[in-house]
Amino acid sequence: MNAETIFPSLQTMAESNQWVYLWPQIALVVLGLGLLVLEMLLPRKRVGTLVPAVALAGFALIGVLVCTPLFPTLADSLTVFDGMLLSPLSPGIFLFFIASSFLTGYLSMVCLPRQVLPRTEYFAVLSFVTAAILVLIHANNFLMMFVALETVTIGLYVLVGYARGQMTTLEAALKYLLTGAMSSAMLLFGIVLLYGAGAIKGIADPLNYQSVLQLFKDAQLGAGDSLALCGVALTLCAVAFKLGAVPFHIWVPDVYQGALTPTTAFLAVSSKAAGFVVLLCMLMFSFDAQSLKELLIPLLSLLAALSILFGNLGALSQRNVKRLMGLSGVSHAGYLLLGVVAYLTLGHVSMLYAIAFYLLAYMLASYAVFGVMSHVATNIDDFQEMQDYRMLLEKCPFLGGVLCVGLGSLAGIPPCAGFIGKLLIFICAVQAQLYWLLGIGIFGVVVSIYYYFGWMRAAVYRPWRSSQDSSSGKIPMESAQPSPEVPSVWSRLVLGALAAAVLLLGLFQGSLVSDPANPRQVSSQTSVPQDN
Amino acid sequence: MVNDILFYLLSAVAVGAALALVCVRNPLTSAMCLLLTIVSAAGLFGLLDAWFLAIVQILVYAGAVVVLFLFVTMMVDTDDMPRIKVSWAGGVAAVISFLLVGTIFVSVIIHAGQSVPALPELGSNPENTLAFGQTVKSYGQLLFTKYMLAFQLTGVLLLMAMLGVIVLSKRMNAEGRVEPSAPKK
Repeated sequence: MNAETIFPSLQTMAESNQWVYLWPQIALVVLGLGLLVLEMLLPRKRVGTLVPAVALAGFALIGVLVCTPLFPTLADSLTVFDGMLLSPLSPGIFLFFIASSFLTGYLSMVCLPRQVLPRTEYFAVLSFVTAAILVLIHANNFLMMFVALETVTIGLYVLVGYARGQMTTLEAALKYLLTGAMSSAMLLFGIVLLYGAGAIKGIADPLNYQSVLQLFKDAQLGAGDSLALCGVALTLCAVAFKLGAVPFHIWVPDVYQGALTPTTAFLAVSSKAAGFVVLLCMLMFSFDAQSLKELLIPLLSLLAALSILFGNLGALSQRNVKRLMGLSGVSHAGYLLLGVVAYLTLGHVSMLYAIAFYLLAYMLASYAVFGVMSHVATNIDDFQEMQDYRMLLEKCPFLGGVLCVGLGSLAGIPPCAGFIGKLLIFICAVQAQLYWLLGIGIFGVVVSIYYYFGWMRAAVYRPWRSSQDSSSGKIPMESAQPSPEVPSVWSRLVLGALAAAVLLLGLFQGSLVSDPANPRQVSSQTSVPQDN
Repeated sequence: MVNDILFYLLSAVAVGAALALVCVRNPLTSAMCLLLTIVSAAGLFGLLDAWFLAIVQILVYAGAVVVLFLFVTMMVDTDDMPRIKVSWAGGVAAVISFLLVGTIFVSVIIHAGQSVPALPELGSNPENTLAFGQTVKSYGQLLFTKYMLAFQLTGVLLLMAMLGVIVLSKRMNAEGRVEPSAPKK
């Protein structure tokens, strides 16, 4: 082998491994390791309270530091690690995922002590998964993406099966494992086909996103040959599995029901959002890849339409609140896919902001609702029904209020952030002239109001009874329902902040819908550019 | 010429054994079929001059993974396995998936019609020595330069998998801590 030609190229590769740009991820891994060490060192009695507190403080500290100028920004080059990673996108995305993990950690502090479960490992796995998500969202290479995705997925297998003593949890863990393995296999198959299609044409580094996109741009390379298109379709299947979009939604209701409520929230928010960021990163430079668009726009439109319809119609008849959140999450994935289709059609940067804002609103509202769910739940929360929420507003006005704000935002009712999110997505759809998808989206919103408000009605109104009913002894049964435990000061603070943020973002979006701090943004100052 | 014959032979064995793996009813026979598939895939790697990959394939998959499968299946009583009935929907799904895989197959064959070598100029082009690992050394060079981050992340993955096994298999005491050793009653 020719040493003179190899070593310089190895050296440039090694020099592009700039670990300093990865400090948030490294800090999260160190936090996870530190928690494990802490468990060994601390006296047994202190572990249960101290380890979660240290974990939350760590998440908060990293989250704050990410917002400071310490955040790694790279002006001169688009990628680091020899093209394995995009240079960090924006502190907002980092903050989103770290905040989501913080909230998951907080909810698990509420939920874990109710059962006999190890505590430390939950937080350690959570911080490793968060680190992997932060690598995943700016992977620029299929190998890097696969390794990060596997790390996230294996961590989620552990978190889903955490309360293994219950039948529903075992069922959820097994179903998630099998469907997850299936989607990993499809992803690998897709990557192999893309690699093969690229390598045959002699593309250098055929695992790189941009190199792969060359396959679809360059007519000389046989733009849009069938092998590469098959690869794209299979890769899309795996991403759709992460998003929980129809037809890859089959795991969603069972897994959401069986997992611990904090894990369900993490699956609903972080895992889904990571899928969208990965999808957008792959498509970021695909504007002139005509043959790719010709395949993806109809496929993604179909996925979006099916997800919106199935998610909303399926949730209509659900009484179990965790399954309801799962199915409504499928429909939210559909709305977000609608935004992705619009972005793919027109390529306006403002559409990315619409998607990001929708994700933010979805995260805040979801955690508000899941937070109330973890407080209302008793020891085993897999069979929480809507009637468990009966008159929650009366029993505990705080939890009831937060629940109403969260559900209102998920349904898209005006003073909440969810309304603005849906509005922005629909404006994108109008700009991209996706009228039939828009129609399905609006139909979905109308349907969703039924089940969200059904839940809200259970929480707010006293069920109507005729005088015979009240004399025939149904009232005692209702009053026998356990009153939810009174939320602690910290819970009030966290849930109150979530509800306040939902309302505040609904009234005032500020620079969130067009972030001026992002250097990569093309000048589009308003979320609703009229220049179309 | 010999290479061609070997290629077709090994591919036929791999595909045939994979088919048998799914169709055979006895789980132990299935595991042995898996072994055969893996060994013939290793042979295919060898035909591509990827000797290291071939050896690793045999060491890790044939040596460790299949043996693990065998241990587990032998511990479970597999004599009275119920026959799985293929449902109507399952049959339709199988046909659809078969058609989809067939599409991929056809597209590969269309490619082959353009008469491009599967792995162009591997040995002769010095620039390709980095992209394609013929020797252990080139794997090491790439692993510790370009794929360093992925390598490190794999370490995190393994640690997490280990934690997961402990959490999911050990007994817990009332304080929610993993007990050092499971008490026998």
